Amino acid sequence: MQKEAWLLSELHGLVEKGVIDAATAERLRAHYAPATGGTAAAVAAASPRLGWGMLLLSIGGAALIAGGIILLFAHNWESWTPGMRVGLSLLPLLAGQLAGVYALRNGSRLWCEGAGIFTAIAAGASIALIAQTYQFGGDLPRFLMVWLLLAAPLIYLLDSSAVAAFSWALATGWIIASPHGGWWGQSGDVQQALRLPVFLALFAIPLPHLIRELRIDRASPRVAWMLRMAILAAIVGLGFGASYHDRDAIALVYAAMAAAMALAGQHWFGGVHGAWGNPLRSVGQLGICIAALSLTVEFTRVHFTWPSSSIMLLPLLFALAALVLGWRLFAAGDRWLAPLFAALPVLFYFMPSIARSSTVLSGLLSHAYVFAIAGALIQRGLALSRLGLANAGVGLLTALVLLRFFDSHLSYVVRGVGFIVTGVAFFVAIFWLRRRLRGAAS
Amino acid sequence: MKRLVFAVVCLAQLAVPLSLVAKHESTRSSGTPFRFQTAPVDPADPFRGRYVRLSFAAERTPVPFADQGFVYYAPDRRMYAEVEVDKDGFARLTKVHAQRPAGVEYVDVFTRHMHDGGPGVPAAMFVRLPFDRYYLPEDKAPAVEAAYFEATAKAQANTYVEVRVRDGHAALVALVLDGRPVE
Repeated sequence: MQKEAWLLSELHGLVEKGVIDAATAERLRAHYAPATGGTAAAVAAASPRLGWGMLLLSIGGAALIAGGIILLFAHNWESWTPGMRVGLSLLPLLAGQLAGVYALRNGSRLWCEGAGIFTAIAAGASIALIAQTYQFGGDLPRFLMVWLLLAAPLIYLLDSSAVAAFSWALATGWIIASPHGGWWGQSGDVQQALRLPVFLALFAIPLPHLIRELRIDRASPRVAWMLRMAILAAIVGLGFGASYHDRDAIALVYAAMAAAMALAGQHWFGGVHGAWGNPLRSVGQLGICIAALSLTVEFTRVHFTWPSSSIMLLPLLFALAALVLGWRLFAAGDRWLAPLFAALPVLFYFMPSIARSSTVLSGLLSHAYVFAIAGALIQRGLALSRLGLANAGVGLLTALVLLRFFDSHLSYVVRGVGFIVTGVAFFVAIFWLRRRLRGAAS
Repeated sequence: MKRLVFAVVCLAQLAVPLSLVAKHESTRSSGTPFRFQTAPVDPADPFRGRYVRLSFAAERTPVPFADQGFVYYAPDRRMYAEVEVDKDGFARLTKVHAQRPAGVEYVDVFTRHMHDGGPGVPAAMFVRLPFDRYYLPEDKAPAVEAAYFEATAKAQANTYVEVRVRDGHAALVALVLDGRPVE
């Protein structure tokens, strides 16, 4: 049993070095799992994910040490001459770099992650401390951009996922801090027009690392963590990156991105369950539900106007990705949910035109779409015996009912009774679903 | 190969802060001196310790565009303001350029908002100077703040920062409150 456990613990490294591919590793895991005791704990104990806790400790420890050193320096700053301050400002950076050299020689993932995040933080801290010593003024966007560009190579040199996640955080910080025109901004302003492309370029820097890790082990926690950070950065960055004139287009971008994410999560992470473990699918499905519900509001349908600017390339790309993934899933047997998700960008794009021609038709279409998604979620949840999915469908229907109560002109009494009835119906539906699923399981 | 690239990245990481030091030192040693009248306040910055936030009389006057065909800017955009010394000996921003001007003393500034002077008034903009903070030891910042309030309470307060400017880069040399430099 010990031999099998040793073999399983070696698989991750073998895949990384290209000795075997990920599929072979998965087959070996499945084959030797019973030999290690057959329990999930035994398999987990033999898997490379044992190191994830250690990895987090390594990253967290490095970040805390870097932060602590910075605070100590800041506290005793006035005691030192400018020359000493410069030397001390560079000391954490040099220490991080030396740790990086050791990590490169050692090849240990713990050292690589720890040294990577420590050096990344120290690079920014050294600039900030020297700025303080020499009384530099604040130019936060430039500082964040330089910091990101200095830290980003560590992603690849030290194979550091922590630095990848940190780079997405810096890119998000940059787009928030960078000058933007707001509603008074000049249309056609070159710098304004460049903000979003620059953010997308910064966002893309860690992507090859993420893709590599996906190929090695897409179910690993490090992939999930990177995906969470990337999704957060994409959502915030796109929101801040668009100019005021493109504000409607951002709704379309989000809708198309949600569809592409949900389908990508379903297609490539089919075996990874749980909202936390499969952020692409969970955030994508949540986005689809929000987008679908927003289409049921008449004001939204009628007032969306798509600009004729380059930002429209984004929903086009996401929509194409959603259609391709939707088709693949459809071909693989998903006859309802995947086609419905893939249809969202198209529906969202054409809905304002339909609404301006006929509000009744657009209302019927948007409500039918929400009902269809809710029905498909419930059906899928029952078919796969997954209460969470079925609950999502019921939750979507409940949200639709509540939304209609809020934007309708009914009296408070009617609305109050409606809330109670909806709440009771929700609990009854969940109770019924649980019984169905338990019956199916037994 | 990977180690060589790592070495290059390490050098770049060290070169950026060191180049800042070099640029600042050369400006301090060979830049043109100016005095900007100030009105400091005292916030706390969690990353950089305590400092006195500076604002300037020059920031309260709209600066005309050098190119009057240029009509609009978003806030926080880097531009370049010509600097002259007025009759009181304090620096004054005379024109703001979209590109670095040649043959004149200028300082990098950041746009704030447009000035609407009405028809016939030259297009102008309020700007922010880049040396907007003066770092102090934690225990000294409150005393300096109190000294500032005392200084500004007096008429004709002689409160300013000494700055050296070279090729647009400004090096803050000293904060002077009521004629006395802050140590």
